[in-house]
Amino acid sequence: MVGAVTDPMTTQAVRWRKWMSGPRAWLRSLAGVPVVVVGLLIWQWQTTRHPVFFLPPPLVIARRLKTDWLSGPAHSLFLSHEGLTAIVQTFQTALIGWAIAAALGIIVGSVLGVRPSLAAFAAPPLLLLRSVPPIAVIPIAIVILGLGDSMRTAVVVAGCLWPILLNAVAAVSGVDQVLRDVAALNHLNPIQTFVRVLVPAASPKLFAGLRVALALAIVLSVGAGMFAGSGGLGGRLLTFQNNFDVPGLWATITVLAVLGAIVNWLLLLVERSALRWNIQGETL
Amino acid sequence: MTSSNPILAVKGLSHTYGHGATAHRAIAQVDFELMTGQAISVVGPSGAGKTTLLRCLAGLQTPTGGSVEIEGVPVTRVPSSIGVVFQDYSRSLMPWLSVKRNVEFPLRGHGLDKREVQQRAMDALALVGLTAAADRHPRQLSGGMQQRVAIARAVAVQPRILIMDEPFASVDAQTRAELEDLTLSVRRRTDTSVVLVTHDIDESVYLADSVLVLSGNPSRVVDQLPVELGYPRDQLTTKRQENYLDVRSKVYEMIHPHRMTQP
Repeated sequence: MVGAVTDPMTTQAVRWRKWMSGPRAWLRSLAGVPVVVVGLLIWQWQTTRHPVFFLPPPLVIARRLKTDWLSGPAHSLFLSHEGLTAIVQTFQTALIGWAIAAALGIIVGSVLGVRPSLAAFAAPPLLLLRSVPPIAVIPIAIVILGLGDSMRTAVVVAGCLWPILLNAVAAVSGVDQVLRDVAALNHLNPIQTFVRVLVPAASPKLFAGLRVALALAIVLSVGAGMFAGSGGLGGRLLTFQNNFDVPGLWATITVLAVLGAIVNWLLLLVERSALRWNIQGETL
Repeated sequence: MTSSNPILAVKGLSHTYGHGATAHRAIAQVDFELMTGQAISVVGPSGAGKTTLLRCLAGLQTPTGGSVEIEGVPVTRVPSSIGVVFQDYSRSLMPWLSVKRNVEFPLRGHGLDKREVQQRAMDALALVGLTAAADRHPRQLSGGMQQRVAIARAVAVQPRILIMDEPFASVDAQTRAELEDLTLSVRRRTDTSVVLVTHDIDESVYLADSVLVLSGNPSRVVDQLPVELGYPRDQLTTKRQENYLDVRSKVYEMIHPHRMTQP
């Protein structure tokens, strides 16, 4: 018996995981479905009885979802041409920007993490830059880069970089000295040490930063599209807003929610398989 | 297991952390030699700079005074002829790698071909009796088994000197005895010289050919006692021998000079 679990939070997490992975786990994972169904029914019932301009009934939104987004052929997952174009534009920008920020943040963050003296120099500007609300970067990015793809990608990078970088500094500086000694004893060069020791040892915390940044990437990609007034889901939201097309807005928001959940779930899958060794409670 | 030339020579080694008023002298002066094939254990009160000494031997730290020579060559960086076993297996093993991958870790990236790497890792695991656990992860093993993995990793590179930093301090007494005997058998089968840092007096005598007793902070050599016990050794008969008890009580008195006078 090693690594006995005593932390109450961990115990709770272990209990939750056991509950979710026990027999008939698939049934349990559906436990939240009735809540959603009942919520939608109440929403439909109330908004049909007392129509509200800014909150159309779910069925109206669903119809718009079908005409605006899901009227395409099977080979494009039933997505309409316009819808697919907007989705690709927004999520491509978000994911490319996020990936650039991830590479940059993890590399720079790791260097600062292993060199406390460098980190001392870098800390004040980093803290200042981190405090800039990412949205505030958009106007200046438009001035510098115009309204195109490069501006939107740059905004995503500028916003996502800080959570990833600061998490990487904390994660890498927290890697046990003994592991670094093991690397040194085996004559690993700095790059080998980075790839074979620091990144895997720091990966639980690195993933935490990546997950925060991924949500931010989608927000910023949509936001930059809205500012630019064109392109992607942000541009569509702006058009619907200008036309007072409330069901169109809600349908777009639904698309964003579903896609955001899918992307987050995909990252969670990657994380779970990469961090299998780190799962609490999986001991003898 | 004797030879006439020293594989390791420590000459006038001293180490001070920091400068000026806040300087902390961890080691005042340490000299000793280790003959090829022999084992020396280093004992002393806690905080006696044993870990600093060990880091200097392994080339992880440059001493502020004196020198360390391995086979006559001064140590300026990490030598390739050493293997190190750390005290805390839960910190020194890579939790994300299987047992086999942990043992392969030091062998990879040095131009050995894949089959050679795997063969050497499996040989090292066989040496510590863990062949069956090769595909498991460290956290699925008991503490004693994890420390065996750490020993296998250290000997996989076929070091000339095995440096052990309080290697059995984190396991229970039963496991400790097993690991002590395992260390003796690894030594017998690999002909490795050993530096063992420990604070367990029984262990320091049982496993070594001489015991280096250090004083408290800053540390100096109090004495270096030869252990004339011969091999093979075992927990029962060796620990009953006159020589064993004699060295053991001498070391004890040096480390606890006041204990004997208490009622």
